[in-house]
Formats: sequence, C-alpha cells, structure tokens
Amino acid sequence: MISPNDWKQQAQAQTGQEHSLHWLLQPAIAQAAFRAAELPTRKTERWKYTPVTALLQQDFLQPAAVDSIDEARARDCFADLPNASRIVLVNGQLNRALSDFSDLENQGVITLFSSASPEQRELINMHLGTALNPDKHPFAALNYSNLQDGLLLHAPALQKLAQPVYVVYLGSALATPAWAQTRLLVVAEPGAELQLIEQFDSVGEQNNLFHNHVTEIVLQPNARLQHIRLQVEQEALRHINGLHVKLTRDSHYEQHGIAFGSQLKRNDINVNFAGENAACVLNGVFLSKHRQHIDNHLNLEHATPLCTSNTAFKGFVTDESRAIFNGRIHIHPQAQKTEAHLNNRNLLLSKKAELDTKPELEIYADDVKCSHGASIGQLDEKSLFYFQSRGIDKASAEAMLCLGFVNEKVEQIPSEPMQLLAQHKLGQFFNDVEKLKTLWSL
Amino acid sequence: MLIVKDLVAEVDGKTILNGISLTVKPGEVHAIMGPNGSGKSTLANVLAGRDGYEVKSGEVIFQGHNLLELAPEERAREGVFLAFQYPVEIPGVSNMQFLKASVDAIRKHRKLPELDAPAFMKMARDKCKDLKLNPDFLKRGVNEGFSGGEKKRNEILQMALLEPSLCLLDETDSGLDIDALQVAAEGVNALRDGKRGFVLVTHYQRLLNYIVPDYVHVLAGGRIVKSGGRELALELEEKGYSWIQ
Ligand SMILES: Nc1ncnc2c1ncn2[C@@H]1O[C@H](COP(=O)(O)OP(=O)(O)OP(=O)(O)O)[C@@H](O)[C@H]1O
Ligand SMILES: [Mg+2]
Repeated sequence: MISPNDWKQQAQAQTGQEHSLHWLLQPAIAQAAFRAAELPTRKTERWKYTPVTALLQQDFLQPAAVDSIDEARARDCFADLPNASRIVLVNGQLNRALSDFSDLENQGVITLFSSASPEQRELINMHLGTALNPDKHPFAALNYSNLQDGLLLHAPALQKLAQPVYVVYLGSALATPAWAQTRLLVVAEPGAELQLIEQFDSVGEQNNLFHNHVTEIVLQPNARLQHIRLQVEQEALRHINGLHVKLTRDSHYEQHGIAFGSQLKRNDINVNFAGENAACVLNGVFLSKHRQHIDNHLNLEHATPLCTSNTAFKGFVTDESRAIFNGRIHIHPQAQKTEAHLNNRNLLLSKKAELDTKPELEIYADDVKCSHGASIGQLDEKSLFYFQSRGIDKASAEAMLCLGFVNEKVEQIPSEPMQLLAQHKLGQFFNDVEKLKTLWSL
Repeated sequence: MLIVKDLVAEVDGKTILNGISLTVKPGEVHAIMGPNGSGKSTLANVLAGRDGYEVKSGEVIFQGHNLLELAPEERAREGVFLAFQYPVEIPGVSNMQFLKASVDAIRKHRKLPELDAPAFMKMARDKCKDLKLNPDFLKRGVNEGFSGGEKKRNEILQMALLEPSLCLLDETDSGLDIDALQVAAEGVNALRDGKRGFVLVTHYQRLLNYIVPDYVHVLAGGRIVKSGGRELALELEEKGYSWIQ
C-alpha cells in the first residue's frame, strides 16, 4: 500500500519524462493542473463515495509492456460489425493485427497522434483539452500529462460516415501491475454525421491493470454523433473514465451506455453546451453485483440558450455492491429557453447493496423547462404476480423482471449487432447472480 | 371441478369476501355480476393466489387440490387461469419471451416436451391470427403501450396458449369494441369443450349474448346474494341491483 501523496509524487515523476510528441500543447497545461491537484479523498465532494484505495494497493505507475494476447479470445469479444472500422488497443497500445481501419486511416479520418500530419497536429492542438477542465478532473489531467500517443477521429464536413467507427480497448492478463492510459479525440466538422462505438473489455484476469481513459468530443455546428459505449470488463479491473463533450451550434449528441461495476469504476460524463440549439441525449444503464463499485458522475453545463438535454439512467444494484449516480444540470444565466430533463431509476435488490443517487439542478436562468427525478425500488409485486399467475416460478419471474428493467435500455441501442453483444454480455453478468440464473435463455 | 365454500377474506383487516360459496362443474359457465367494489376481482385474485389477501375461513377445492395451499404458479400449472381486469405493463420483456416462459413452465408440469423456439413462434402467430391480433404484438414489451382493448385481447391470447381447465375472466369485455368483443367471445367459445369451467366477471349482459352462461350470480357486499339462469342477467340489465337483497 502506498500513500496518496507518494502515489501522486510518483505519477507526477512519470509525467515529467521525455515526450515523443513535442508538438503537443496539452501536456504542459495538464501537468500544471495535475501538480496543483490532490488525489481525491473522502473529503473531496465529487469523490466522497469512491475511495481510490484500489489504486494504491499495487504499483500501477508504469505503462504495460507490449503484451501478446490470445487473438482468438480477443476476437470473441468483438461485436459482429463486419463493415465497421475497428481499432483495437490492448493494454493501451494499438494492436494492428486485431485492428482493421486502413480505409479511414488512408482518408485521414482516423489517425494516431504519433503519425499526425502537420495539419492534423494543428487540429489536435486546436481541440484537445477544449471540452475538459483539467483542474476539475485530476485523472484526466494525469492522462493528458502523460500523453505518449492518442487517437484522432476526424469526421469530414458535410459527410455521413457510412460505417460505424468501432474502438475496442482490451485489457489482458498482465504479469506485473501497470496502467493503460488511453485517449480518443473526436472532432466532427460542420455537418458531419457518424456513429462511434467504444467497447471497454478484457481477456483474462485484470487484477494488474489500472485503465485511465479520456474521450474528448468536439461537435462543430450541425454535426451529429451517435455514441455507443459498453464497459463490460472483468470485475477486478480498476477503470477511471472521463468523457468530455463540447457541443456547438445545432449539433446533436446521443449516447447509449452500458457499464458494469468493478473493483473501482468511475465514469465522468461532462457535456458543455457552447452554441445555441444543440441537443444531447444520454441514455445509460449501470449494473453492479458482488462487491463491485461503480460511480457515475454526470455534469451538463448549459451555458448557451435554446439547447436541450435528456438524460435517463437506470441502475441495477445487488449483492454487496455499491453504486453512485450523481447527475448535475447547471443552467447558466444566459442559457434561456433551455429544456433539460434528467432521471435515474434504480432497482436495489439486496439489503447489503448500497446506492446513492443525487440529481442536482442549478438554475440561474428564468425561462427554462427542467425536471429531474430519481427513484430506488424493488421489483413490482403486481408484475411478479402476473408472471406467477402464468405458471412462471417466482425466481424466474424476478429474473425476467430484472432483465426487462435493463433490457429496456438495451432495446434503445441504435445498432442491432451492439444490442446482441450487450445481451450476450448481460447474460454473462447475470449468470452468477443467483436469482437470475435461468434467465437470458428465454 | 371448483368448490368454494364459505370463503371469508380480508385485506388490511377489512373483510371483503364475506362467506362466498360457489361450485363450478366441468363444462359450466358461471357469470358473476355485481356493483363496483362488491368483491368480484377480490374473489378472482384470491382464487389465483395473489398476495395481500388473508383468507380467514372457508375452503377452495380445485380438482381435488386444496387450492389455497398452492403458490400462484402452482395453481396456474394445475390449470387455473385469471384474465386480469387490469393487466400490467412490463417493458423490456417481450410478449414472446413472456409467453414462451409461461408455456414452457406449464408444459413441463404437464410432462409435455418443451417446444423449440420456431415451433412456439408458429403456434403463437397462429393464435394471434385467430384472435385478429397483429403478430407484431409478440415482439413488443408485455402489454407495453397496448390500448385497453389490446391488453384484454392479449389476455385471451395467453389463455388460448395455456389451455387452462378453469378460466377466470375479470371484466375481459370492458374496453373491447364490438368487433373485438365478438372475437374475444369466439376465443372463449373455442375453448369450451365440455370439460373446462369458466367464471366470467362482467358488468354487461351483452357479453352473455355471445358466451351463454349456465348460471348468473350477483355478488354484493362480499356475498352471493342471488343466483339464477341467464335470464337473471337480463333482469339485472333492466332493473339494476337495488331490487335484490
Ligand atoms: N389491497 C386492497 N386494500 C384495500 N382495499 C382493497 C384492496 N383490494 C380491494 N379492496 C377493496 O375491496 C373492495 C372490493 O374490491 P374489488 O376490486 O374486489 O371490487 P370489484 O367487485 O371487482 O369492483 P369493480 O366492479 O369496480 O371491478 C373494494 O371496496 C376495494 O376498495
Ligand atoms: Mg373488479
């Protein structure tokens, strides 16, 4: 066990090392922010339910060695998206053998920071860090401090990408502890339209990996992005994930997420409205079982007029696990005619499980339409009886109701292959939840 | 097949069923009518085994079983079916998944082989057709966003698939349009094989034109206050309930 202070010092020392990407402006800014930051403790409001002790138990502070991965098992994780451009990172490093994105790479749509052209370098410097405030996000600051490489997804103006871009972050069983720090920058030019799928997954035990990830998304006027996110890794993993979105005029962002708990899982979703008439839809479901932990922190900064946001998250929490949902809507004084709705419905199935849900509404404009709500419930007695009255035993009835609760979100995923993958993963997740054993086979 | 004897049941300490006796023989159709709040749904729910009702005295024998000792799912497997007055919506579980789980459970109990998915789907689609239900209903969440009448037809669909021996229909006719009423009645009549028993809770004599009952009972204040043949329904239609008692 290492003390938080030592951890920070050591992490900082890592970031001070030579960077191959001298042209990048972000690391210096992020380093300053990280130096000034403190590792969150119970006293840090935004982290009060999520101790980072799981990061202090082992010496994670070095990149993973390039590892051979069982390719067949890795491929088993993939969704059936034959025409998608697939980028696969294993423990944070691009794996060419598993990837397949040469078309978009040749077109300059997908580029590694390390092979960016001068124009692309300029583009990266122009946008990286603009959707995120490193002072508020110490792990994102750490991530950008130590920027060895990254992925750029640059969607050209006025074009609709015919096929989804599918990024898979895989962890493999590591012999010694290490971190994987990954980042994806999405810049959609005016009028661009695309679907992005991110899958965080793993092959084998993940006890030695700390994944620190940032996705930053900048949508230019009128751009549209559909974003599907699956975080379905093995439960020993420690994963801190920051998603930062900047929405300019008339842009449209839609997200569908499924996240499993793990030893430590933290999801920050931060949306900045930076132009009129932008719209954001956040749809998610998080699930935790065993002794897992998952912390969802959403923050919607409505800083411009006439924008809309619709956020609906569901939580499924059982066994001795712990889940947190914190959804904040902040409407700035100038953001008149904002329409913002947020709700979080949860199923809490065990007396030993714990769930903290807190919608926060801060409104400083007077002409707005807002609503927020949260609920924590058990399975509905009437629905259970309905199933039983049709001959279905109580345990299966409970299982089906749980499934239905989660599946309502799965059905909204705008991609059939991803729905199937999600159902497959959920089947595995539910498989050892005692009540749900019999279930997904139906 | 069903013998209800002096059944007294409470909810939250309040007596709702106040000594009900009713005998249904194989093949018979019994209609139960009565004012709102008289206990008709409560009777149906107690027979189906819903939690929250306390049976204080009396007994219910169904095909030789002491029904009150069985869990709701066991009653269903033994052949009791309740078509609900207000079917619940269960988003996220497709009607098809739900129906398959239920048919599987009941076939297993009857020691029949499990139907594979294609065979089941075909059967479900055929039954939909009989009931003039769009097969797309099977893909939707259980009763999710169904209109009132569609929910009721879905109940009949389930009944047709499960082939129960005792059918309790709680106001299945309420909310059905004239054509749907006829279709639903045909669904019920198709199951009348001289062995099945039916208990129809209804407010309207109209249903009984299509499904002709052997007996009509009037339930008031948690008791059967009058019983008669089908002509009783006509009399009630004309005079209301006030003349009884
Ligand atoms: N769970 C409950 N808690 C309290 N009272 C109840 C409960 N369930 C039923 N009741 C009461 O029992 C009485 C009988 O209700 P029931 O639903 O059986 O009537 P009904 O005859 O089916 O009426 P309707 O014709 O309106 O459907 C009513 O007064 C009702 O309010
Ligand atoms: Mg009723």
